[in-house]
Amino acid sequence: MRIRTSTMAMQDQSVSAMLAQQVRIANTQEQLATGLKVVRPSDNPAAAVRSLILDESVELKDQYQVNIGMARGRLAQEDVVLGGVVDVMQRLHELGVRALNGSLNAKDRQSMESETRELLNEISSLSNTKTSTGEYLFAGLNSKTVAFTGSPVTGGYVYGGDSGRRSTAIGEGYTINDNDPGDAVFTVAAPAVPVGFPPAAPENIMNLVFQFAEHLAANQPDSSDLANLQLSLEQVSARRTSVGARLVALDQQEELNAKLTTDEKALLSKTRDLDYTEAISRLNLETTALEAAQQAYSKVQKLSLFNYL
Amino acid sequence: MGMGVLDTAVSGLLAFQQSLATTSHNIANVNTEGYSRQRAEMATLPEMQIGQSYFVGNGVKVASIGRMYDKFLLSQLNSSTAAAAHLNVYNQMTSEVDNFIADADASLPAGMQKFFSTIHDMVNDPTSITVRQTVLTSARTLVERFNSISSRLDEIRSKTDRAMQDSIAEINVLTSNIASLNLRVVDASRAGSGAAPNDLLDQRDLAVRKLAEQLDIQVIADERGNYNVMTSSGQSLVLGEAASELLLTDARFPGGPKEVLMKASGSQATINITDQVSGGELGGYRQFIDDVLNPVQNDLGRIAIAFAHQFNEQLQAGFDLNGSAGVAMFNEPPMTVIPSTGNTGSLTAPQPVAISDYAALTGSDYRITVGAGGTVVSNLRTQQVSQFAPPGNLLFSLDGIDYDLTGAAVGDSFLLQPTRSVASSLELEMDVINDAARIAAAGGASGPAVGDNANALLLADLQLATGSLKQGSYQDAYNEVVGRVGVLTQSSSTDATAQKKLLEAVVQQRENISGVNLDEEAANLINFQQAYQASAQVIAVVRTTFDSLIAAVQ
Repeated sequence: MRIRTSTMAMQDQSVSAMLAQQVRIANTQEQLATGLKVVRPSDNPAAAVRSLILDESVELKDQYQVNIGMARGRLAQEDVVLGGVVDVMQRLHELGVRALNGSLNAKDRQSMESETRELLNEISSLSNTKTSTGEYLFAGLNSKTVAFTGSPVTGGYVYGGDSGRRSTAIGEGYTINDNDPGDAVFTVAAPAVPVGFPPAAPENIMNLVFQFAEHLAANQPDSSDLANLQLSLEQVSARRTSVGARLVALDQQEELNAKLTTDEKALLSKTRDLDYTEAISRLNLETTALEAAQQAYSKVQKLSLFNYL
Repeated sequence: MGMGVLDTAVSGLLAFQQSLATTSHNIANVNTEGYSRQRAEMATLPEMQIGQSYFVGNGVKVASIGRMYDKFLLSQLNSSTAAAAHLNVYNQMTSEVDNFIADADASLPAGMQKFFSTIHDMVNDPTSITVRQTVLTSARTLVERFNSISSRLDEIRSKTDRAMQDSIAEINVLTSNIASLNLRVVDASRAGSGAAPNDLLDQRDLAVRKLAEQLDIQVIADERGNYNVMTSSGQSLVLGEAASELLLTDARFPGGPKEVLMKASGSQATINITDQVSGGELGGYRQFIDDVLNPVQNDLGRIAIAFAHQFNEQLQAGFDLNGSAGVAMFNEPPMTVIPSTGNTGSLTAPQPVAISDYAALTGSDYRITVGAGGTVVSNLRTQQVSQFAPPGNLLFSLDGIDYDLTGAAVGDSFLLQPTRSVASSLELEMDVINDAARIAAAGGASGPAVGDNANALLLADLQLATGSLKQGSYQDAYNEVVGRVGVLTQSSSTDATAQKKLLEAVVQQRENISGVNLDEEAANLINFQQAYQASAQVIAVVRTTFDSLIAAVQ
């Protein structure tokens, strides 16, 4: 039997060759239009899933960076406020030292008293600082309640907040406190007492300063005042150091997140982004192949024995 | 003798006329699907014995007009057609899911990420109503993502159902075609005393191939010339002149999957042949539904219900801005239970099932059959069968689901779709929509601590919690779906391409044998024309011979 094929088969073959080329061109065109080599999961299932995982990781880290920014805002504000309190406490400490000077008279001490009450007012207003979100910085979780109420004239400073601390996530499984409740910041655990007195319960700094002012007013300075001012200064400074340490931790984590993000983005790009040079040269090859298929079709179509009958 | 030559020449004329007619028929049918080229087979006429010494040839006749075909190739063509149509449909449908399942703008991960980002924002600023509003906005977007992906899958499902319906209709037309062609072929063969009705045979072969495009079939020719057509598992579709009718129906579990029933010709009884249908477009659609569509939609629902439940649970463990106990943010759509229409027990509603362990959910559908010896639960995804013998046959747990079938009668069956419709019907609860302050960001119970974000932080942690679902986190579970769809689409595309190549090769082989080649026909045309002319020339020669003979006598 002779080797033969049918007219329809020849026609079909050249048409399917053209169609197949067109599909290839369409795929390359889509890649060029999207800039991706993995347009659908089926293009490379493993790469598609890796992209999703990396996407999630990158976006999560972006969120951690936002969280770090927010936490830094709060902690930096706390640092500045505590810095102010430390300055005031240092002045008060100076006054405390001077108050014990035996050469001072009642009038001298009265003028020191009014400065002390002024400074107390300053501490009190610093302790009631509000954050950018309208919350009391030192009220713990009870953040819409005034942290400390009381007056430089009558004393009786009372903490209105609670002891709660707030955390935010700054890395995977890494949370950090971004506030300190007022009772922790402004309380001296074991205040000094005049000789012969029983040990005192923990007391907040403002009441201790008020006590100092009252003693000045009465021209009866006590060495326990100086000790308490010293303890207060140490207490606030210690909190401030802790805030500083957390600010450093935020910076370090931010840097780490940024570095990880850079690496992940590079990997993400490698995983799914198109190599344009390769894609364009592929497109050229494919269009050439299509042209060849078209030429072959039109040439073959012209052939027919009937043309010679 | 003179008359003999003339007769011989005339026999040539007639035979070559037939040949030319056959060539013309071939040329006319060059583009007819399923046509096999025909050839007039020539044979000598019975010769004549002259005296005792020799035989003289008496000319030519057309012994038969045969079609060029290969029976083996035809059956190969049928099976290749069924396989190619199956893989092509399966790949096409799977690609539709593949096209959008990981689309960056419409898919779940982006919505999930945005939602959890706003939860983090709430961690940073728990007292702000504005921030809480953005939580609600992103929650709505996330819910819409679930809804829209699921409704996209619903659209594909109804498209698939319609296509299956069309396929069944086509099968019914083709089987009755084949049956009536059987009748005509047998009649024509009888009338033609054994001669083959070529065009009818081609038409019947074509109808069989079209049928193979719809489902996998076996064809057995009987001694009378009928084609008896069966499904690959042996259910008879065409028997001689009678065709069975197929029906696509959800009569057993209304609203559940469509099943294929067969009604034999002249009978009202139906047989369920759903599991015996394979190959062809029908088989492709069925495989797509079983292997891709149901698992994907169920898994999406599984992620949705686990997410909604676990998020709600955490919300309810916390306190809102007013210090009240937390409320749910998402509804938790119930499982779909479809009792069989044949059930006799009293158990129809309420739900005979409840989810006890979200991380153990499988994304499978189940068929539950209550029998005298116990309850049988078939996992429709893995085909795994679990048996529960009395006394534990009515109250049991399986794959994170608690069953309470009290009230079911022996013989009752139910179709359970635990998570099929969840993603479609997920929505936000009105309590939180109306009042963003009700989002429970606070962890402590003591008084309205408005700045408390402890619960919000725990809510944010749910994003990465690895115990949420069988596969890990919500995103892990979705990634698994994306990966699976990707792999299925990729491999089915490879398989479909390979099968298409195979089919093309068989088609090519068939064309090589049966297809019309115009050049060949043109050559035949010249050949037969010349032979015809030669025969005519013989008549002319006979005439001049006679003329000279008559002239000599005159």
